[in-house]
Amino acid sequence: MKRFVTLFVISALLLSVLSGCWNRRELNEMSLAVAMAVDKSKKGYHVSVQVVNPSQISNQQNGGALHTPVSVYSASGKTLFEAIRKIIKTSSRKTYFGHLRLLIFSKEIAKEGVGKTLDMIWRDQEFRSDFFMVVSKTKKAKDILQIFTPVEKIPANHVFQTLEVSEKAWAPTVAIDIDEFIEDLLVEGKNPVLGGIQVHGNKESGKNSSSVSKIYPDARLVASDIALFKKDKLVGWLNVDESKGYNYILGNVKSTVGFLECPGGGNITMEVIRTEAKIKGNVVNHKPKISISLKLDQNIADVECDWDISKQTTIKQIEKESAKKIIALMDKAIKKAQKEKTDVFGFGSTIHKSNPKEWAALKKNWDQEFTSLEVDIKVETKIRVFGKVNQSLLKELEE
Amino acid sequence: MSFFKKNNTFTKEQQNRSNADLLSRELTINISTIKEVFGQTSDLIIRNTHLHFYEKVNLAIIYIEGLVDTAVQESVLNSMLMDHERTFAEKGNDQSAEQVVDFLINRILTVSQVVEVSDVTEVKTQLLSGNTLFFLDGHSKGFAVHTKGWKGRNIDEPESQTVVRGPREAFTENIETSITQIRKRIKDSSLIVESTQVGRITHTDVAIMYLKGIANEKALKEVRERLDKIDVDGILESGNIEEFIQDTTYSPFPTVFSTERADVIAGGLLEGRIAIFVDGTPFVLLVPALFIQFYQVSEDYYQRADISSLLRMLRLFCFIIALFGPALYIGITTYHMEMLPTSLLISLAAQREGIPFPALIEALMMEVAFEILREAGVRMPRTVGQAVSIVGALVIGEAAIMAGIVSPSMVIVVSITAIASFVIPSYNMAISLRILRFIFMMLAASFGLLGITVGIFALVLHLSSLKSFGVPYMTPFGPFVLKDQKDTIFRLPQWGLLNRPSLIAQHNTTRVDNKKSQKH
Repeated sequence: MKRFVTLFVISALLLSVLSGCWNRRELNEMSLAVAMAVDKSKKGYHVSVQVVNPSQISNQQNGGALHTPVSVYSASGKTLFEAIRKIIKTSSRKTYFGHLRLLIFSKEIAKEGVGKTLDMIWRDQEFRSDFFMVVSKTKKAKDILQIFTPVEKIPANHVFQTLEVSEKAWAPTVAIDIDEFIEDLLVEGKNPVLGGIQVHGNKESGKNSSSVSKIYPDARLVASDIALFKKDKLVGWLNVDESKGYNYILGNVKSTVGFLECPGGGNITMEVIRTEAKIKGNVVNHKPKISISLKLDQNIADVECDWDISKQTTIKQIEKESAKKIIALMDKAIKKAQKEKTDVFGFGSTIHKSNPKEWAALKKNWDQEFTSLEVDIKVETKIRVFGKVNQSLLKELEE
Repeated sequence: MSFFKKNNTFTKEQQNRSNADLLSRELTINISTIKEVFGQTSDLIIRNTHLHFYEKVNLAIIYIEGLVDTAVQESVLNSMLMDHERTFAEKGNDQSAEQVVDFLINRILTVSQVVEVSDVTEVKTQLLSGNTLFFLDGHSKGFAVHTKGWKGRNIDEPESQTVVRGPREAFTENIETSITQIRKRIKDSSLIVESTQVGRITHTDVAIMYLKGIANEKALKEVRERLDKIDVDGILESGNIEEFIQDTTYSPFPTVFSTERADVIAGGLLEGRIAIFVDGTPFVLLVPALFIQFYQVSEDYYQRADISSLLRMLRLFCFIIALFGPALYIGITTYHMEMLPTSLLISLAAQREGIPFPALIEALMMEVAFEILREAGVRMPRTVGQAVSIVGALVIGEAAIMAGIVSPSMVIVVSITAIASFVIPSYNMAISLRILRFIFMMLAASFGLLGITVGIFALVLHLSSLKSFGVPYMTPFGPFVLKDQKDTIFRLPQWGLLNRPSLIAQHNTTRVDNKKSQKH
């Protein structure tokens, strides 16, 4: 027994020495990357990484040393991984990518195709798959990483949350993480999209911390529009209306805002509170056909005209008009995608599921088929709540 | 082996001597023998006198000062020495020694228990257990009168296991008082006490107590056998006995339950357990002891079932924190950063900024500092105790953070772990967790969560392999006994506790008869 215990203790002690604490890393021996931007360089890639300066973020007072909350390191390399490793030359600590929030591709890279860069990110075990990917509308993706943001000290977090919240409450943006992107890329009859990001205001003074010491910062990071991809290559952009249409089609809209023009001038605004979209595919006489049906609940949020909304007929009319408007939005999005010959809605995969046999024949020439695809859209809207008052203030004033 | 050999020769010697040392008829010889046996100890009192009713005979009264109850002794001496009756004298003055003795025992002595002693060994035992002996000249036997009684502590509140609701009586160092406390609670003839003595020199009284017909016969036999096997010079505390009779020595977990609460022992007896009382300590042992038992307190049965169930779960949760707290912190922050939410990670990283030591060293420093504080707190005289807490709170807590040696989050982890370990009701179980915590910290520091997982496997295997007097330690989880789950992590209301634990009590297992005790 004694012998056994001694042997066990000795071997356990030796074991812990032998392991060398493989992969062990103290929190203050690594720099936390929160955002990564990939630009094109002459050699290959120019990678910029935004890392956190933890001491500047925490609530503890740190003697007023004026450092920025984040720093950007960058390096160029023939391959992405090489470039990332080269960053160590300028950084005192090894970069840790487990908590990456944001991956930004420059337009150039996106146009050439992001597939090559994604392999490394998808393969490496350190990257998690919960960060958002965006395409920079500003020329250099690196610039996005250098803009100071108010409230949220870490710009990457700022963008991450902007994307997340605006997808929920403002329809015309998308927040796509790498899982979704790769799934869309690999599924037959579907092409991926990504959100766009750009700098509004003065880019150069936004890079200075004095920008956020103003109440209205010199430069703002804005999430806008949707980038259309064909396979892994950027082919075009959806504008605000088209982006909204895109989200309506896919049923991504959780809540958004839409307005109608009143017959007597002025506008009436609706807050969408619930949507439910169904896409059905069918093949008739070897011709594919898609029908989209959307059920939508909305509240009246803002009446800026003298329309009498207390009447049943008016409500019916509003419901009809807003349905018409939404159909128009969706139609625009489809038209645009058809123009770019990229099926970002996954109509192809819908057909694949509904008519697998016909799909075998259709899929070879799907891009062409898609451009002339017949899409039937039905929208049903319901007004639920009028808010605290019935008539508009304008109408009350008149009387 | 050499131990046993020595032992045999010792008992042989003893036998030889006791044959030779039979008492003599001559009083003076007897007195000198006794003096010789006890050396020149000054608390041996020998008084030469005469019986009041038969003055021809010389009488010696012998006792050890301090061990006898002086009030009882006085009344005995009174009846023997005072001239208040002359009944015997009327019969004439030439009586044989036997007749005198007979008269003395049957007519004069006013105590319940008188024992004849005929050899020196017996004389020794009787004197040392507090009895008063008297010898008559011309009679080869002495007589021991029961005058046992020495000063002890009064019955007090238990210090180690306090409750909000429940009886406040604790055992005392006196074994008879302790046994009485159980007798008072269980008024049934099936309550059996078996007394014995352990310790070659101390001759400590040890008593086994159980409920006949309820206690597991096998375990009982095992307890008797193991107690018989103990051969040691002295037993000073039940802890000494515990170490001799426990099933596994090489385990951090206690397999014998100990308590100073009378109601806990009474409850244990009702469940079919066996109690071992040891003279000289308020801590009574209870076997077989199960793992889950160390996380239960008597108050669980006095509060309402839902409340005590929640508290039991809380205690088990604290067990997990106390065991794995610092290990998880070390493992996650050094190997599995991706498991933490980003903002938490950043704040942890900010706290670690500028800390010169790796997380393990940091944790070890704090843990060791805390263990030192705790040990100092226990050993210090109460009046100085405050100084410890001030130094502990200020120096270790504040200054270590201010100096940038330890991160605030580590202090939080260590303190929560410490408080959690205080929640565990049983002190000896809490100690075992303290030891294991360090092992888990090492595992976490060298292998991360993988190490912790492997450690847990080893721990579970070890726990499942333990037994306490024939009953698997992890009962009723491994082996799983559905019926016994009613009183483990949670507790059913009293009318639901139908049976005694099945592996502990094997006969007469019904506890509650719901037909009779109808709920209203």
